[in-house]
Amino acid sequence: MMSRSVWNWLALPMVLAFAAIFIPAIASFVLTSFHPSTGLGEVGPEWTLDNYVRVFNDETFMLGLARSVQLGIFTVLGTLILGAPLAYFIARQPSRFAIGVFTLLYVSSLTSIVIRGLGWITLLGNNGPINQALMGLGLIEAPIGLQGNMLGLTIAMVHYMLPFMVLTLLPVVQSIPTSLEEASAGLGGGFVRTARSVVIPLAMPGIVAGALLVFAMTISAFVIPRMVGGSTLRLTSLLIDQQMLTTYNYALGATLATILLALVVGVVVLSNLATRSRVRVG
Amino acid sequence: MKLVSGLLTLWAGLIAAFLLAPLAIVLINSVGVEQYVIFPPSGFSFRWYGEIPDYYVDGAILSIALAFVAISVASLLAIPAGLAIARGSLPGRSLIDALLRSPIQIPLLISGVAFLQFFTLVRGWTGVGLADGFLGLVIAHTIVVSPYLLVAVVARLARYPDALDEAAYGMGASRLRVLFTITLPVIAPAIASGLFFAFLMSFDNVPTTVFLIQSGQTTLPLALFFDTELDLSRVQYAVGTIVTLISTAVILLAMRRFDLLPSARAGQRAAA
Repeated sequence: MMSRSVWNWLALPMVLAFAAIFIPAIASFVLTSFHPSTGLGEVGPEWTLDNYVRVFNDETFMLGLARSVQLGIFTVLGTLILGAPLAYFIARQPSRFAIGVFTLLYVSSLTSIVIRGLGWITLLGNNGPINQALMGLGLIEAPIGLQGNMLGLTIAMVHYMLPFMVLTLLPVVQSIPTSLEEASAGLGGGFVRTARSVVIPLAMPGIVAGALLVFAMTISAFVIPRMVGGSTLRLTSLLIDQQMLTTYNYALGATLATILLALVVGVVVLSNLATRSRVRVG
Repeated sequence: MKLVSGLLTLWAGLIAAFLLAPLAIVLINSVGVEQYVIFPPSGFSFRWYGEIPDYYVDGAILSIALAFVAISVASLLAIPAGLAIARGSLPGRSLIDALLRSPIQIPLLISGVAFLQFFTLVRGWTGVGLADGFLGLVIAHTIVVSPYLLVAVVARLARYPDALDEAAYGMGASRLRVLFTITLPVIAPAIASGLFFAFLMSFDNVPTTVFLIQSGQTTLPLALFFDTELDLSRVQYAVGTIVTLISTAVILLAMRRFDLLPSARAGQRAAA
């Protein structure tokens, strides 16, 4: 028998790379958030909480955080409403059509995010096809604003996040035995009743995991919020970019980044706890 | 249940249209005839494909080169690390595993902030500037994509038949020989799948890259990203269409090759 410990050395290069680069990189911005800004891209040596005090008392920053959370909640709801029936459909009726939709979901999720953003800018524009169609149907008189507001941004974010929701839900739905639904139907339960009292409770771990994943990814998303939301919706991720690359206030940028990271890590930890406790109960 | 089934099919069809919409409009607008972008275009023309400026081509070359170098370095780090995590007896194994996977959980934007600040500090200490050049990009992209490879290797080794290697040891093969002639070839498809995802993650990365390119040549997605902020033009749609067509072909090929479709397996699982 081979001793297992010889394999251990193979981890060394990656562990060293992470210890020398990744951990210091994360530490460097977290630590920067506790130092005062002393000029363009510079911070002083003193330790301070001023950056946090400033962020939590600044209307722009708090509004940005609130909007990021709001967008996260809207996007979770949107992807659940669209994605849950779709995951059920793909799991239960794996026809050629269902596989085709699944393939499309996969291809869409791996297509360049900038190109999807370009598509949404065009679709949501004042002269874009959505406004044209609504005006053509006589539903609206003038173009409704879809660019630079929450409605348009939510639509584009739901498009971006839908694959993540469905790919999280799909294996959970597949693991629910069809016999349970048949039993429910045999006892006289209609589709809605069966969904409400059998499928949804059993799929709850997947729903929670998918919701937390989509929420964490949405609040920290950058490309779609900047392209579709534009400068009018000043979400946290855009404020970080602005502080780092426009005003060169590294201290404030680092503070916002630390707050955002804490939120994301909190959601991830919550997600791990939720999945683990579910597994133990189930 | 007929009604429910019909409604679900309709729902899936509507979602398919929703998924296709932004890609379809990019394609349609790329072949419009007028200089000014209006929808629908009044005529058909391929001329914008011939007017793609050189910096997009240079951007594509930079993106591909960066992704190739990043996944190559990532392979050298993550494949051995995956073997160590799956087969070794590392002290604090779950902690090391969590650390090496952690870049997946950290938003790309935050990684960008982290590397920019770190590279700024490094310049202060050593005078070596990494925040604006190929080397800095390679370092950042390698760290960001290496967990995807690690996860693929560890997951594959978890269901690896150890008897395969033991048979070879029994016949007197050396450890290295078994590794290179049996273990690695057997897990090669999983490595290829990990490399594929890692490549796409690097190629399409805007949120990290945006912090590490301040002057000179940008990557392809970044060039498109900045140009669309100034003004929309037919050329951008043409670039978008070319990239989408190539990536779709590659993704479809990879889905087939790496068995990523739910078809047969889903049926079995649902029946079980």
